Amino acid sequence: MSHYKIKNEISRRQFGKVTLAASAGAYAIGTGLFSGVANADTPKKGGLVRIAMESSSPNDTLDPIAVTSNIDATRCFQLYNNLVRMGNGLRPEPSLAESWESNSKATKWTFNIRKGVEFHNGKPLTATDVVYSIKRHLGENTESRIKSYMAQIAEVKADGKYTVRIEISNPNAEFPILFSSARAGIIPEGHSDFENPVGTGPFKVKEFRPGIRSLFERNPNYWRSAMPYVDAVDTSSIPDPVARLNVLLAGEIEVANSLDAKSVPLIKLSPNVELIVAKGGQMVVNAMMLDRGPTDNKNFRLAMKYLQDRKRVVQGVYKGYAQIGNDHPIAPSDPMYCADIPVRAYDPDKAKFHLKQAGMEGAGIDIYTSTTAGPGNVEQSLTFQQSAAAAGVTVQVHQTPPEGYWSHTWQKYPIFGTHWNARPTADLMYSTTLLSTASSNETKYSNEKLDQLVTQARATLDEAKRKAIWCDLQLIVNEDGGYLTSCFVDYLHGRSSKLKGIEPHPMGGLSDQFSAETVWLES
Amino acid sequence: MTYTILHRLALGLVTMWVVSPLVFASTEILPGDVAESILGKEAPAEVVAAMRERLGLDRPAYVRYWDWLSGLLVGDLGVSLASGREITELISDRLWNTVRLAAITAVISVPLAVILGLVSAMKAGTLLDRTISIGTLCVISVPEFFMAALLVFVFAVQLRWLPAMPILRPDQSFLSSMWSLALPILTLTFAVLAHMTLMTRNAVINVLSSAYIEMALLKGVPNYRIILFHAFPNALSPIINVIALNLAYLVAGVVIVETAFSYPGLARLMVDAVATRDIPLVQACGMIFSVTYVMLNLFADILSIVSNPRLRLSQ
Amino acid sequence: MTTNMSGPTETTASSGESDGKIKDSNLRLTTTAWIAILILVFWVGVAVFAPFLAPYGEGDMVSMESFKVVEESSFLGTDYLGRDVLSRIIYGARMTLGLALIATILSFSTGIVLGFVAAISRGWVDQILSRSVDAIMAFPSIMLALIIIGGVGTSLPVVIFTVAMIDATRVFRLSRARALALDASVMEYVNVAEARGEGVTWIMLQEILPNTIVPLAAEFGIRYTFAILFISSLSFLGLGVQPPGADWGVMVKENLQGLLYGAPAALLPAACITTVSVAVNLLVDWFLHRSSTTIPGELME
Repeated sequence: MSHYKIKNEISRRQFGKVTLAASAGAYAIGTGLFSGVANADTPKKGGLVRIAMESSSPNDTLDPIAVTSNIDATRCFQLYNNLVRMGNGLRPEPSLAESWESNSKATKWTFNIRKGVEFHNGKPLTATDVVYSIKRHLGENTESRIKSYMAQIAEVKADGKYTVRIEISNPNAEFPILFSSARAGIIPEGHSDFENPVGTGPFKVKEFRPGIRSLFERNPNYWRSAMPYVDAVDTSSIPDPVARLNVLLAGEIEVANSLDAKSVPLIKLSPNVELIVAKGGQMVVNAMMLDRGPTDNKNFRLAMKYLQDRKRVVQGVYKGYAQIGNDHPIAPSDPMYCADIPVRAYDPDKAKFHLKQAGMEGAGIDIYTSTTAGPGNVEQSLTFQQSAAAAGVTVQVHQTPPEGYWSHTWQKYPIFGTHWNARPTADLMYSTTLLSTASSNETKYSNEKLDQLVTQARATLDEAKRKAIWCDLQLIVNEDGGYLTSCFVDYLHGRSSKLKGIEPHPMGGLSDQFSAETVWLES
Repeated sequence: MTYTILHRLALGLVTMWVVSPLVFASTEILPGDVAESILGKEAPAEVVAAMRERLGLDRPAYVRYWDWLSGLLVGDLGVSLASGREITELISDRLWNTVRLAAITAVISVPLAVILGLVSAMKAGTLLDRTISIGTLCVISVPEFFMAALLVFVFAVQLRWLPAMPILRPDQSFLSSMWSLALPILTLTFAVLAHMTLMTRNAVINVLSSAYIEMALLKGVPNYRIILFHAFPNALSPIINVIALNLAYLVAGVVIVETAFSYPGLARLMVDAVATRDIPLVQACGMIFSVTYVMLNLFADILSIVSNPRLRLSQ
Repeated sequence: MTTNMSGPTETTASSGESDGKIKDSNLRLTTTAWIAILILVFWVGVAVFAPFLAPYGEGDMVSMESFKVVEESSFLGTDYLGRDVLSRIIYGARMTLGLALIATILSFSTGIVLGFVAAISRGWVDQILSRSVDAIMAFPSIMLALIIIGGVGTSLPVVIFTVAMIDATRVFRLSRARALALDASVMEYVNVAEARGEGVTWIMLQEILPNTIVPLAAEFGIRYTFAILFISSLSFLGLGVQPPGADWGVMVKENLQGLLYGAPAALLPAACITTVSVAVNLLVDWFLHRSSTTIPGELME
């Protein structure tokens, strides 16, 4: 067991180095297609991989545009391919698009489609399939979950059999990354029957029971040679975290996703189970609303920010499996993270000073949270309550039922818990939560300068210059924004030590890490 | 007797009638709706509104109640809002799973409880009786989810004797499905055993105090014969009632066990449906549970009327 | 058993079938009764004096480490969030026993009043009450709680109200049945009292209650333990007590991972629930036997 553990540690460190090297270097296209496989051993063929995930709903779907949960995303990555794959170092890698390029303004994009790829039904992949798949996201009446991002597409058309040309309304240097979303899976032209889905992915449907399990079998004509290694992949729902861990420990499954940090010591004691740790931008935070009191007062917000004991949250709640955050939504693992902004320390005196400035020394502070507001959000709030109490500030934590939290508690109180899965880019994070036009601007943050800077960053193809703009953007939110980002929570999963070829992905649940195309079972 | 049975039947029907608006109303008080829950927190307001309209959620509650009830009367449970599938289709699988688990548990626990109860009654006041009583009390006092976790830890993780997760396949033999269900069955057996055992014991002891038993005793009939042939038949009515209650519980109340074992039964379907605000699905499950309860009680009532010599003769 | 609220309504009642009144001469404590009383007195004491007994506050995080036993500071170890288990068990006694007690008292007062009213008035009042109670009982109690708490929101009053309402239906059935089953002689007193022009309250207090007190008291004990277990089930589903409040059921739930390596944080609260529940039931058992046992001596081997 220890043998593999050491190996894992090394590969994780190597993976970190690769990321650094890539971000320092040029914007490379077409490298690292197989970076998902870092294990040097030769993969063995055959066997069944069983994956248990936390989401369970009778309305689980295999329609990519309707993906809502991690299990939907995983199943879609097992069945479909995307134009672009999000690499484990948060760089776009080719998938069904062999390569892509843009004009100098980053408004006109050309994608060269891979030749010789076949759908599960034998139909060869062409540009028209891609155009059809993309157009399903467009238009007024689409129920696409990424409608608002796809709306930047002004025109999409096939140019010959293997070229797709796309024009977007505003410059966007990171546009191709949009196609790495689980929701952007490519299906054959005209297909609309998702009871019998057809894709180009590593597996095809054998059995699917929503809310319970799916069994997909190997696609023998998969375009990535020799992959997938396993004969079949079984993906089931086990919502209870203790049950999920138990089933993994009992050796009845090979992968259990989304484990609790408090079960880490047990996994370390178990010789047949290993931890998969993915450092990413998963944000589990409390948010303050700027459109109402008391959180509309900047001094009050600063006081709250100074009351966070970040190290205590990372250690106490997440047992060290988290990265320290700095009150903005960009994680240290993100290529755009600005290390020049000092992390705000726990400082009761400064907190009291700012409370006094705000004239709210005796104010009662209420935090509304729920178990559904991200893993450990309730515990973070309780830790905050303790840190605040040490400074003489009284905080009341209200835990509300998970059902209906997002419709009846979220955005209804000045301070509430919220959860964001990692986004592929800093831009997508800001466009979701901080632009004044953002659909999920939960803190009601509105700042013209921020909006302008984001647009400017998109049009900047030079990465170093873009990063400088992103530093400004992070500083604005760090000082003025409504996020109490104590930390970014690592994605913790467990795997059987027999399962090889799986690499942690910084995008967690919405990534293709459980697509099972690169994994194999040691006999 | 026929009158009594007909009277009970009528009461059962009235109860089911009262249940329907209750089920409907209770789901109406839940905050949020299926459109919000399907689309998630990132969805723009106009997408949510469009979906709401498509699903007919913008109609007033009484219209939807009427639609639902009239569908219900002709056996049409409607369509799940979240998945667009027929509810009958969604439920049939789950219902079968629930019934299977309940049936196996009942086959094991009911005879066991009755035997334990009778033994306890025969040996009332002895160490054996005390042991059975306190043992069952201890089991009853352990939270169900704790019992489930404990059993899984001991039998699946440590000893590896029994599977931790029940995996059911349509082509499975009865024996192998018994095997994969062993731990949920064990947990549920613990949950219902105590109640039925204590009931049997107390009911039998109670009958023992009546005058005609004292007569039999005076005539010199042996104790075990008195209990098996005189006391037990006369104590059947309350025993049947408590068995019916527990059977209803095995069908409807097992949400904790289904959650702890990720067992795809009806109760978990309902909890998931509550979470996604899939109201027609919640209502369908609610009605199934209520009807099960009413039917089982009705059945128990009729059975105890038929089995009770005094009631049988009085009409 | 936690969610089976359809408790042994008829079970306990039947033991007191022949006579509903307490016979004072039989109220001598047995050894088991003494043990039961000692356990309960112990827990009541712990609950009342919790702030003086607990070394830390219930929400205090004394360590960054989970499930860690530190001999000198927290000898029962810490819970998953680094809080002292001993302190939380002590405060938990307060929350667990108190919540269930309030809920049970509420359910008994409403259940008994409505049950007696139904029994006295008969006719349509009885029909309406009985049918509504049947309908509520037909719905799985945990689902009902899920929907009510989901709809109204989690707070202690809501939890108490929900548990009390669900329990009250069972109490209603029992008290109604008991009142209806009263001897003709008792009902004659009721009729006489009615003829005298006495109010319903007077009749209930003077005539019916004393004659049904034994089965109701027994039921109280059983309902009480069910309330404790039911609240812990709600906590399992995330609907129970608010954090950082300590409730034994919540503690079992939140430390369940610790069970896998035998941490006291998960085992002890479960054991505490068991001690209370067994003690209450032993006491009920003793009470029933002493007050109305007419089991022939020959069978009591």
